[in-house]
Amino acid sequence: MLKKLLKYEFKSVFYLLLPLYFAVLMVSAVCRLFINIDFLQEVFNGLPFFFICAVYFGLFVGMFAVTLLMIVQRFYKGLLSEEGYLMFTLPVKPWQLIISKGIVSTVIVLISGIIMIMSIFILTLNLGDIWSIFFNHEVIRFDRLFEKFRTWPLFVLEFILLMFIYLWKHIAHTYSAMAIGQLSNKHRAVLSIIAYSVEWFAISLFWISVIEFSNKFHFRLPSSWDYWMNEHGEFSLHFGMWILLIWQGLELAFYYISTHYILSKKLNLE
Amino acid sequence: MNEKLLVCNSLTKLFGTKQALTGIDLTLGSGKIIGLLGPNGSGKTTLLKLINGLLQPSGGNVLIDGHAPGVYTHGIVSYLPDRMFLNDWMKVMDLIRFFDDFYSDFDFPKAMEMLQSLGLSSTDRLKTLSKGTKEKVQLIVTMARKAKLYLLDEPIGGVDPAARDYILNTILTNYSENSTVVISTHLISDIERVLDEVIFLKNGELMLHDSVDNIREQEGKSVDQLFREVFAC
Repeated sequence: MLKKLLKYEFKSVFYLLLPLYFAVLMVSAVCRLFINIDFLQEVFNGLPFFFICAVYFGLFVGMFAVTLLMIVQRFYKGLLSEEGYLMFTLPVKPWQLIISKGIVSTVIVLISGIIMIMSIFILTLNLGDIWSIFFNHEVIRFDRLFEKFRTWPLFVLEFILLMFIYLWKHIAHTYSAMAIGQLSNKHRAVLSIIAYSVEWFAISLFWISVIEFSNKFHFRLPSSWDYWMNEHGEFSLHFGMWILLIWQGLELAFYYISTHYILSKKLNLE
Repeated sequence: MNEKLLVCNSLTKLFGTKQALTGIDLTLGSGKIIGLLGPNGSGKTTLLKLINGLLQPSGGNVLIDGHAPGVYTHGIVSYLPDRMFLNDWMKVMDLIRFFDDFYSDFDFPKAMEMLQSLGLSSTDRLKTLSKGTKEKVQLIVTMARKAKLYLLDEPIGGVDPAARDYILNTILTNYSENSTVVISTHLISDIERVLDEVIFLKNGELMLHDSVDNIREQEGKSVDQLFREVFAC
């Protein structure tokens, strides 16, 4: 069922986002043409270039605005509003609904980021530049880097995972706030905003307390640990990545559990 | 035939301090068409939402085919809410495929046949449809399931009289020995001819649950007349 939910969720966001992604890439290519070909600028006296840049900027900002709107709208309208009457009477579990929304929202944020990078590449770089960065050993010595840092594929994997969980956590935070907001019959938006702030404050306070607590009681790892970490730089890097992953994962779990509890036990559709 | 398709035990729902339903005890068997009747604010929609798990009871419980509302009951209950649940980006065909994907009891050919009978196009985008047409589409996907329990909240309120007749005929021809249809409505005279039983709700309390034949025999009046007397302002 999760697969089916994901299929429909992707369809419902991509019908609007895919044309937008395509438009951003196309307009950045046209912009690039104007930048590169002096003739075009001379013929059109700079005016179309200005116009196309304005369109590009508008689309660029629009893409992120629509992405953010989609994240909120697909959860609020899709689950907590009228569409919820359909979604919560499907033979699926609430966790499947929440996870499907979370995965799709995280993926669209990542894709929007990739499209942004691609469009900046199109605007600013020549193919030769990209080639130089990755393959010309005079620019960045990737060969040496890889030689010394043998576990780099693991690091890349950890980094991607961290990005995904970090984004998902922020999205889950928004979901959790909206789920709390729907408990109110009259002031849903206001309660959602308050819940978002209170949750952020409470989580920050919790981590500050954890750090203070460990400092106060002088929780220190044995000195041999420091020595071992310094000697094994790669290990310490991976260790750091896993600490971050666990940290972000715990926050994600907190937001997910609170959302799941409310949607399973305290659902209050409009 | 299941004599206890739907059982409500002391079902109570509070919204803050307001009592929406008070200790409802109700047992419905299969193979019946039942009218859920009551004035505005009597608790009809709240009861249907509780049966569907869209609200959680403040007290008591509800069992459908022996199960609390959840994945199993969603697979055997076909619910038509009193509002639009349609996802605007979809075309009519997308919605039919959506139902076909999620409900194993969905009858795709029957849905297509109903679309054709009501003169609707499967390629129309949902957001371009009128309110009445959207209601018809929702009713089609609800009734095209071979569910054990149909819960229809105001199914004929917003459609024209011709479509109303079609809908009532669809309900009549659709239900079987194994299924029960519960219709919540104000338009009693329109549906009285198809009802086997009626439930009267008033201020969240169960006033009456009886067969239409009994009411006619004992009270000597139609359900519509009795309703007007019981709920006279």
